[in-house]
Amino acid sequence: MTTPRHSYFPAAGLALLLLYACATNAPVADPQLLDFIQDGTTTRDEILLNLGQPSAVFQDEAILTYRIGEDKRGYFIEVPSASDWQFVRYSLVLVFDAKGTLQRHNLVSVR
Amino acid sequence: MKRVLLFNRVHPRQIALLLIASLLASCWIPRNDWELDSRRNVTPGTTTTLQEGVGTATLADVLLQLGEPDVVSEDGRRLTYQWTKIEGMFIIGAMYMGSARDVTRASAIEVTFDERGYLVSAELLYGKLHLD
Repeated sequence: MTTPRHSYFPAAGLALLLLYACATNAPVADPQLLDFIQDGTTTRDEILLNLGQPSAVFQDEAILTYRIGEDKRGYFIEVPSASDWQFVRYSLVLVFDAKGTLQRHNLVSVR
Repeated sequence: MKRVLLFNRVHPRQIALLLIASLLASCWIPRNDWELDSRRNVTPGTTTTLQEGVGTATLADVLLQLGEPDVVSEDGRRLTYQWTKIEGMFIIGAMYMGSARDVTRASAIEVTFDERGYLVSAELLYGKLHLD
C-alpha cells in the first residue's frame, strides 16, 4: 500500500510555516562595518551603497545619520523606530560638501 | 440598596484613617536611572554647552556633538532631544498586598537654528512626573 504523494503537501506546508515562524531578522554584525569611512575621500554614494537608507537626512542630504547597534561581533545598522533608542548604541553623523564628499563625521555614543 | 446603606455607615474619618494608614505603609525609594528605551547622551547640562555656541555653532556642529535628534520640525530648523529618567519608586502596601510603581520624568532640549543654519537658542524643557 502506498501513500499518495500529494498527502504530504499539507504536512510540508505546515513545516515550512513553522520554520518561517522561527526565523528571526537579526542584523548581521560586522567589526569592519564603518572602516571604509574616511573624511575627504568617501562619497555619499559609497555611504548609501554600504550602509543603505539613512535614519535621518538634513539640509538636502548634506548631512546623513545612521543608528548603529553593537554587539560582541561588531557594528550593525539598527532600523529606526520613533524615539526608541533601546538597541541603538551610536548615532553616526556624516557631513558632506557640495560635491558629495565626506567632510566630517562622528560616531556619537547615545547610550 | 444594601451597598448604599453600608457606605452610609462608613464615617469620612474612617476613610481618612484608611488613607493615612495606606500612606504610612508606603515608601519612596529615590532613583536616578535612565528609562530602558531612553537616549543617555543628553542631560540638562547639555543646554549650557549648547548656549555657548549661539550664533557660531551650525546645525552640523550640533548633530556631530549630540547625534540624531528625536524630533525634527518640518522646516528642519528646530531639533528636539528627549530623554526619560526614573526619579524613584513608589511602593504602597505590605505583606501579600502591595504595588511598586516607577515614577519617571521626561525632559527635552529644544534647539533652534536660523535660516542660515546657525544656532539661535537651546531651551531645556522639563516634563511632568509620570507614574508608570
